[in-house]
Amino acid sequence: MKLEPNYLLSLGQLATLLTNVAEIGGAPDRDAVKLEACQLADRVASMGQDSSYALFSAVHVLTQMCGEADKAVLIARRIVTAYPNSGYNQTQLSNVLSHAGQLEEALQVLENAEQAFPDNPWVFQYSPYWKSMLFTEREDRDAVLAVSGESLSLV
Amino acid sequence: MVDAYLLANAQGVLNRPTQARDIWNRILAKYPGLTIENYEWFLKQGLATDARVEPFVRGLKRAKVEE
Repeated sequence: MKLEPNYLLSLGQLATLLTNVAEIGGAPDRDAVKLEACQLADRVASMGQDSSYALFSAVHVLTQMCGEADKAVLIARRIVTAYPNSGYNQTQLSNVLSHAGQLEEALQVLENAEQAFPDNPWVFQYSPYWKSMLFTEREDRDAVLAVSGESLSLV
Repeated sequence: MVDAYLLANAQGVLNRPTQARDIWNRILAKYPGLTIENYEWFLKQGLATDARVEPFVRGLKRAKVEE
């Protein structure tokens, strides 16, 4: 696949796709996939353009694949400050905070997003997931069942 | 679908292996390449330490979802 080299969103989305493939066991050489995803994410993050979707694609990969949650937190906070009225941005910030070990703030961000953006489909779909991550790390299994049981769709 | 791993794991931790295996098998039907080992590897990339990863796979292992 040939991508436009300066189209940040396509680069960020490719990095995300590679990360997702590695997650579900679809990468024969997962370390090579990780390297490519992280290189793409670094490139997007360093190009300095202000595309929130592209940057959050990079942030997602830096956080979950590259072990760079602290760097991702800085980028995520900058995007949320620039675009405060985005439920997508808020839920992504929560995930980054969670991976950085800032669990209380991560949960608060999600609860604020649910209140501020009650009809946002991204918040509706992903807030339960990120909450389940937080509750798993806190060893609160009943809370995981309460949250995930409401949102689970295996269709 | 996105939180199905977490739900299966929670069921395993709560000593409900049948429910854990049922959810796991439904995930596998969609993503046949998935293994606990790969899931653990993936989590480790983001969470960094074994101590942080372990709560996410404890129930899957306890329920022996891959057997």
